[in-house]
Amino acid sequence: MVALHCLRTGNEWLSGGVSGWSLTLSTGIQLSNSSRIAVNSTGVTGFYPSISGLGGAHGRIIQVIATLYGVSHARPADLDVLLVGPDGVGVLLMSDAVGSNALTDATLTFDDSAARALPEQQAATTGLYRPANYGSGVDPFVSPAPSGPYGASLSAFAGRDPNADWKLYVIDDTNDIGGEIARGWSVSIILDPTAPTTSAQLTPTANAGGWTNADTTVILTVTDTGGAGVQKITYSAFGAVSFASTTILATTVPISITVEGVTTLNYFATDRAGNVEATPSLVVRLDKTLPSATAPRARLLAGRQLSTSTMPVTLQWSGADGLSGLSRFQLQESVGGGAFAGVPVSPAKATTSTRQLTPGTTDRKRVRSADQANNISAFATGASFTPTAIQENAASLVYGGRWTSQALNAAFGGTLRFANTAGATATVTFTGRSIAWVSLTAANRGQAQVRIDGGAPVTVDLYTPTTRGRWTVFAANGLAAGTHSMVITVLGTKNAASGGTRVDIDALLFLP
Amino acid sequence: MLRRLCLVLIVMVLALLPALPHSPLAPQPAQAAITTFTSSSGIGVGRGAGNPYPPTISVPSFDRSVMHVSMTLIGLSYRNSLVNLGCNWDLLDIMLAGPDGQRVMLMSDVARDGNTSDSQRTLTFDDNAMTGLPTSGSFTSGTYAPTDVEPGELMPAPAPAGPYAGGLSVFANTDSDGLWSLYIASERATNGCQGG
Repeated sequence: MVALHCLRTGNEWLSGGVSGWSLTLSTGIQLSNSSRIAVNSTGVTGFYPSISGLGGAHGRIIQVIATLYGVSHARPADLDVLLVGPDGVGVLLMSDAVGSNALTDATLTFDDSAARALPEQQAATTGLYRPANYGSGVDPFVSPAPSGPYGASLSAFAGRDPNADWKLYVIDDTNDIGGEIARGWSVSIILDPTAPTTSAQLTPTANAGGWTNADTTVILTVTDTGGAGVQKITYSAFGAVSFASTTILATTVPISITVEGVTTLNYFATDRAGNVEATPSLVVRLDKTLPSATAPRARLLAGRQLSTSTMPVTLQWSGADGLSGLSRFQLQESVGGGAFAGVPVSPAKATTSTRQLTPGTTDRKRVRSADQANNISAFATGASFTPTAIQENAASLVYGGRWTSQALNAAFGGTLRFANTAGATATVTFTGRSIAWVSLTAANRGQAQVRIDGGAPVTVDLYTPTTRGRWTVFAANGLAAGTHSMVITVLGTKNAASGGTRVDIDALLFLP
Repeated sequence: MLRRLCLVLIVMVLALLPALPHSPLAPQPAQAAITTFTSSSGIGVGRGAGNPYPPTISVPSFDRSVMHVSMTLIGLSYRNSLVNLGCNWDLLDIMLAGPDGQRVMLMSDVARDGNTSDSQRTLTFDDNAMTGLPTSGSFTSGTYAPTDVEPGELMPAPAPAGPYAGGLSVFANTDSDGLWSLYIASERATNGCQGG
């Protein structure tokens, strides 16, 4: 409530107010026929029936109010007044009412919500009444009036299409005294033109991709702004969860979805006026199963560049999800036995990442996956490993033929060794499962041949249009655990575009 | 002979006419509904005119005339907060004015209510209500017909001058489009403040 303004005088301090207020406006259609209806003393009245037509109205009937203008009769109990609306539905507005208490130019309004019914024996005056049908006999309406039984309240018209001729049948069932409805009659019709609408709320809410990862409840809630009010909700489902059309008399209903997969819910509401909502649908995607991930494997790849102090190690892993599909991986690493820390993975579903690792420092990597429903797997952790690197002048590297050492800023460690002559060799014996040769490529470099454990030779061309130092030009992975050898043989040949046959050895990289 | 035949035909038609169905009126395309407009802004009343005075509710245009209007006051209270003698409803005048100039006194000079434990009422005014508010004794929250016990009293300016209608039917078949104004005032503004 707003702050009050009140003045204190003597022992009186008046204060008060309201916290809000509202207006309810009923708008509708009024049909009228102002022609006098003569109530003959001989039964059937003039204008039998009296008609008022309606067409083009949109909506379903909520409420009907009927008014008779200028009713005069010395013995109203003789009067039977029947209102017939759409579909031939008839409602007796008054029959055998008001006894012998004369009505004189009374305007009688009939409304189901009136506080009182038109009385049976007591006098009545102009006013608002509920329809009233007294007496046990059959009221002698004759054709073209529809035969009874007739409705006892105007609610009999609810839910019907109002577009029709509305007819008023008036008879005098005693045939001795006449009367009239001097100024005709009217029917006020309140319509509900609006179908109800249903909203669906998921708990838990679906993510942007429309997935949930836990048993889901869909709450359907219906609102009706047209005035009639909600009557029922009808819903069905197919897909992972399937059930036949179900109708309940309620404004809200919870629907439980616990089976994984894609379920389509169809639903619509109906209001009390018979307006039916177009059938919306909702797709519920439920995935409660965790995805999988494999531990990352470390590999050395050709075509990677070393920094001046670190070596490139490529990590590879995989994952799978059978329902919603993978959405991302999370990679973490522990360096030197420290805590795991996150490593960016880009794009989010990439299954490889190249890291610059410090030779001689122990590393451990782990990865986990998430699916579209945001289920997250456990970490898959790879074995600890220590990458190593040796310079070109290491004792384990044995040269044959003529090789020349050179200090070079672009080299790993600042020096390298090179040969131009065919047949020059460099041999290394190592223990591990991966090896890479680090060299320098340039516009004047030549070609070499590499053999692992005496296997098939692989030709490596060191020509590039621009110079690239500390570059892995050859790599081998997946070797059996144990000791291996690698031989680099200078071929003395070159790419046609190259200006020379020089072959450089800068360093060698190893993974266990 | 021809004129005589025509006259006979006219008489026959006139004789039959009362027994024939009356011609339908022209079709009336329309839509209709029951719509409630609510203001949750409070109104304070001490002496004289309330605050704000008047609060308004804006009603949009309907494609059909208003047939029926009801109005609800939510949480109405008015009492002497120094001496709890109940609710001083008898001092309140409440008048509703529509955008077309029609105005109705909803409540004026009704019973002072000695109920000291329940100070708030939610009152709906509807012509279809069975009774109006009482002139003596207490009353509860509910639906009542507009009740102007001593017609002729005027609301403080800038309220439109009287006379004020006694029923909400004054709004029937009027243009509802515009501001509906609610005037609440205490009669203490003119009578002065006396004890209890």
